[in-house]
Amino acid sequence: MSILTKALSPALTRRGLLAAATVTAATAAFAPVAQASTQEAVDVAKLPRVKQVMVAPPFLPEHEQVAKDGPKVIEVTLTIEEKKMVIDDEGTELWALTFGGSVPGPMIVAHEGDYVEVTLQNLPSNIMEHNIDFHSATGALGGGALTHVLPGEQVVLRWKATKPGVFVYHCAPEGIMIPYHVVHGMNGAVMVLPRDGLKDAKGKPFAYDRAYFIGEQDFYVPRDEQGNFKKYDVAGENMSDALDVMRTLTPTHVVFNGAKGALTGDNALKAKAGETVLFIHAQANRDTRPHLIGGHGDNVWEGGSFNDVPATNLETWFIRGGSAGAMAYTFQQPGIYAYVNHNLIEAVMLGATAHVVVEGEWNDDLMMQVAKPGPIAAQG
Amino acid sequence: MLRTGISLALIALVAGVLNWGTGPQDRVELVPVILSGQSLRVAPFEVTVADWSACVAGGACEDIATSVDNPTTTPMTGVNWFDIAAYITWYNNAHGTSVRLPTAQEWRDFSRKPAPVARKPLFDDPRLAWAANYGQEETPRGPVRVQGSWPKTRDGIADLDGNVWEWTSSCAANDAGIDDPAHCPAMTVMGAHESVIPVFVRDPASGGCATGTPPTHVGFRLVEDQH
Repeated sequence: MSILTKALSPALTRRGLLAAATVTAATAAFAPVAQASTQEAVDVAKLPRVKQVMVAPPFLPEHEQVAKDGPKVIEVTLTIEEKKMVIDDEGTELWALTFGGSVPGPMIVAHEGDYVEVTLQNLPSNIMEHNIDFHSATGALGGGALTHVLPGEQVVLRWKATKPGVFVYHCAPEGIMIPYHVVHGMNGAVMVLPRDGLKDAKGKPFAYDRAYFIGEQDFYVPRDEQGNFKKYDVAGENMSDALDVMRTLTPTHVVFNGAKGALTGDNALKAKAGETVLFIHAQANRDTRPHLIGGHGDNVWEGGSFNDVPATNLETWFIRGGSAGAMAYTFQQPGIYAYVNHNLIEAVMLGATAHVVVEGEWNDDLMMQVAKPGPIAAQG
Repeated sequence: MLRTGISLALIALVAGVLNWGTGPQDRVELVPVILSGQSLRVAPFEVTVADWSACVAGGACEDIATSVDNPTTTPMTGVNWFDIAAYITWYNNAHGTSVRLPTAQEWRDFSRKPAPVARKPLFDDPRLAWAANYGQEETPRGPVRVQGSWPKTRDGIADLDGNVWEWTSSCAANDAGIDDPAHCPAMTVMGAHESVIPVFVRDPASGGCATGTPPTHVGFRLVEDQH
């Protein structure tokens, strides 16, 4: 086993990190090496600073699609809150672990070349240690190694947005707590736009009229002897029961935005015919396959990178577990659309359904009911 | 025996409580309701988990009830058209009665609901009729509650506006000329709003292509013609 492997495997735990540091110091194996940086050095202290106010999904914070100015430092605060949530219409409860009090956590939007400065706060009322791993960031386990905070603590991490695209962020404290925190809601997404905005498949500038953040979440809620979902008094109390359910890899709930029905009925997404809507879909743990019933994926950045040419006219697209992807659709018809995980068992029975209510004028050219249902006509 | 049972139940009813016994022979007392041109006796509450268990014990019903804290007062839900047909056959044999499901019109009548206030449809265009009612319907959510958790009519019929919808004997496909319930693919179910459920379905789950507002739970209530 190389010294590198020895040092890195315990480094996945906090105490392990300290051990790794000791090894490093003792052997001087990782003495700094001067490197030619591929990134232009920037004096961050001289950059303008802006505060980005976090909003609960499915909405995005206010942002420009095309950056008007040069790189800046975007300050965001993510407050970690362990809170009891109801995750379906049966009243099933879950002690969710949240960034910002919502599942998923709020979306952060930046442009390539911006710096994101995150103040991560762990509320004193919480009982667990937390941290954050940004898939959009480079180094230190996505920032996870530098952001461990105990209840009552906060930490500030700054990372540079070097890769344009959409990315997951999630809590990754240590060992078994990594999947435990993620499947209790502790994940969100970052969108890093190219400074000159998005481009369609032909390379033309591409703008959206609205954007929605769909965070898909698999939950693993333990049941009692009668088969009813169990309730717990405090966060973490379900730990051993939940690990048993997680080990089956069979979720009890697969939902959008924290609860079955969170994006239907009064909470349905809205759009108008003719509008282009960007749907950012994140799944921090498990593969999924979004589909818009009645529409299409006009432009799909399936793997999440905005450097890639988007795929066009997809019926269903794939979001790898641990990633986010983006789809843009220009609505052609008014009515109701269902945005689902097209594993239809998960969509209908486990909860992964959102609805979009679209206003506008019906287009008979695209579709019309030529004859209403009636008796079968005699065959000639 | 039957007569004694009725008088006991009537006494209990006067006292404002239902006479729930302990054996499978116990029957629910129905409340007379005078409707225009018709006298109907209607169960004040939906059939309960304990009622269902009696049918299971009688060997006529499937053991599909979920475990609940108060089976004698918790409505039986998660039942499809065929489950109910089996229950009603068993019940009538066991009690010498002729109970049945109400028709949708009977349900509308004994619920004594005012005609629904015409809400502005989501879409006026008849080509969007399929989407017009989206989000316009009252849909109480949450777990099944014990009977009496929702208002009752002046006749004493309770829980008509709750989160448990009720099967009727009315085929929802009447427009297509199907009026034989034996060949009906979906029945009208009544509750906080009118809905349609395929005869095989026990749990009217939401989502997918269903753009209407599906019922939260579905159970049933017995009626009997007044002779």
